[in-house]
Amino acid sequence: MELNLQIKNQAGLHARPAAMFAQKASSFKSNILIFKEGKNGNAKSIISIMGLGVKKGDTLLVKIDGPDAAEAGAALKKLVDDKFGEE
Amino acid sequence: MWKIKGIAASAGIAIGEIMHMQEAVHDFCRQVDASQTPAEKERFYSAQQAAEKELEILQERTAATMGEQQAEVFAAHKLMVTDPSFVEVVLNHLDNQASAEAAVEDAANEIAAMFAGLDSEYMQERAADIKDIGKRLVRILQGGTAEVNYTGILAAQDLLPSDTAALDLNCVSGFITALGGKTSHSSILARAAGIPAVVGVGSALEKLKNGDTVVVDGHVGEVLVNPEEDVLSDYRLRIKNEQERAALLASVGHLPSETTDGHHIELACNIGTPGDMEKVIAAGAEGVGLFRTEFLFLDKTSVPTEEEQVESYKAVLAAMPDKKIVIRTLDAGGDKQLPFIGGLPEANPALGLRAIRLCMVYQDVFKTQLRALLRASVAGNLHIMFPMIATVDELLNAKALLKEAAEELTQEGVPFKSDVAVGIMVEVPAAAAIADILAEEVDFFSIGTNDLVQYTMAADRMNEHVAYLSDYFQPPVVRLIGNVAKAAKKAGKWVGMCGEMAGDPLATPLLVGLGLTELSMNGRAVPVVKHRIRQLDIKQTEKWADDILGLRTAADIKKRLEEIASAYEI
Repeated sequence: MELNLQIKNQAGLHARPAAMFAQKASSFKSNILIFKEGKNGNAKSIISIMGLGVKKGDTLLVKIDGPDAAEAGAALKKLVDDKFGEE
Repeated sequence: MWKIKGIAASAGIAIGEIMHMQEAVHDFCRQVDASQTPAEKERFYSAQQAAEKELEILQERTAATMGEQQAEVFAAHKLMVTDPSFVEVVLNHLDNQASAEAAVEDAANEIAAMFAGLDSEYMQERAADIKDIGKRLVRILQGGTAEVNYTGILAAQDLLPSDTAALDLNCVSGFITALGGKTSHSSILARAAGIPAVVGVGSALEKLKNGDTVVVDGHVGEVLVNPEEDVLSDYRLRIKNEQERAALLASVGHLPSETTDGHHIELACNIGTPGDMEKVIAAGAEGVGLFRTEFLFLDKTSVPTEEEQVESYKAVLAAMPDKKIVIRTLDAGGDKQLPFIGGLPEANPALGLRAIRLCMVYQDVFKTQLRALLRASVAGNLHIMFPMIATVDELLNAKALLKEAAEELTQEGVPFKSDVAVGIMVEVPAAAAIADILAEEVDFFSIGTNDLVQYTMAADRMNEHVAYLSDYFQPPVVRLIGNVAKAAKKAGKWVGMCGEMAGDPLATPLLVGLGLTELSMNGRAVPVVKHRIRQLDIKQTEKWADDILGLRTAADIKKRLEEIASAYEI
């Protein structure tokens, strides 16, 4: 499955949000890739997420392939929509 | 036995075995035969596991000692060590016949370069993090201590904050570092933890082998390597004496500062802010001999208000309401320029428009301070002290302004104590020379030895080329102190000291013998000086002082005082 996620939290996918995103993605069996402006990375890697330099307002394309794809997509969307718990 | 010279960074003596802090070794082979690749992968995986375990320990330990926030960096490192992208790059290198060491180092450097190319300071720091991870893995692969558990005497190039977070300071008894000075991180940490340390030993560090028995002498900045048994037992005795001394000094805290024949010598502290009062009380001191008021002025862009000042002065007075508190009026100018005054650069700031000289030019600022002091006087036992007085006129002018301030307050109906004691700091040789004249106009003298030495010897105390002159045991300085004490005694006024010399236990018998009845120092020096005073007989000290006034050189005076000191317990 594929979905688009718009990053709304202030810090973008830096530091703590990047770690939370990678940890959440890692809790699923599916392969999860993220794409941004022609670059892509492994959603389970804090390093590749940070390497994309995702800022507030950016939209990510997330491609999920595997047995728990639907659950993974819903969980990642919730994390982003909740702004990673930021105020 | 051989010796290493370094910088004495943290006092005390430690005996123990050398343990080198593990540094990454760079002379590993980079390429392996293809048949070795599965084995190299295994090595990588087990190093990765070991690193994770180390980081977990670090995270827990740091959280416990420095708080969760400080520990977060290690949590992030842990994530990076197992990060799939990092592992992928490492495995790529391994598949290309790299050794495990080369693979982790190259992978870390490549990712660090990618981070460093991103345009934020935050990412630059992450670049440093990933490099740190690479170093950790290389060290583990090289057989470096996997368990971070240093004991004995730690030898390191330098100790960085992340290194010291890993140390269990209960197990490390001394530090030796190749780099660093008195104010580097390792030195500060060692002093805070009370661990003897010698820093800045340079390349001599490499000559130390793990397991060498060494004596770290943090008093003189020396390391004795593999000393003979008799030397070792000497140092063991010294350690024992130091422990006994610490216990003894802790026990004099509540005892009176009295000579054996019942003369009371007041021990006070020098402070810079009201917050220092806690330390004064803890030190077992009997008041404040010098409260520098500059802190109220120096960081400000405008003159502090009268109210602001009243509050600060009251806070100090109220902390010890029945004790003598000497507050020095503004000692600014020269090298301590006030932002709201400005002023022209001076060729000789130490000899220029500073302290009382500056205050008499900016009388409105000065009078505000005097009004604030008088208003605060109701809170305790205030003594006002004018700095840098060189002539009677300066003193009379300052006193006239104080009187004006008092008259204003009376007219306004504002309460203040009418009998506040007024004294001067004796720090200009001119004042010492006319101490008999000045004594008629003051309630007390307090000798400031730091400036008195500089002005008497005509030697800038920051200039190392003339450091041999900057010594308060120089006969001219000692004689001036004697002069001031004699003049004060004749006029029935008390004389104290608030310079560095006051806290030097070697000088105590001399100062007591010359007739000083108050010594003001750093809180740390109080127990030692008090213990010394409790062993002195005033008549005896007077004889010594007479004798010392006749000596020819600073070295002679020091030698005599050392002889005197050797007869005492501490």
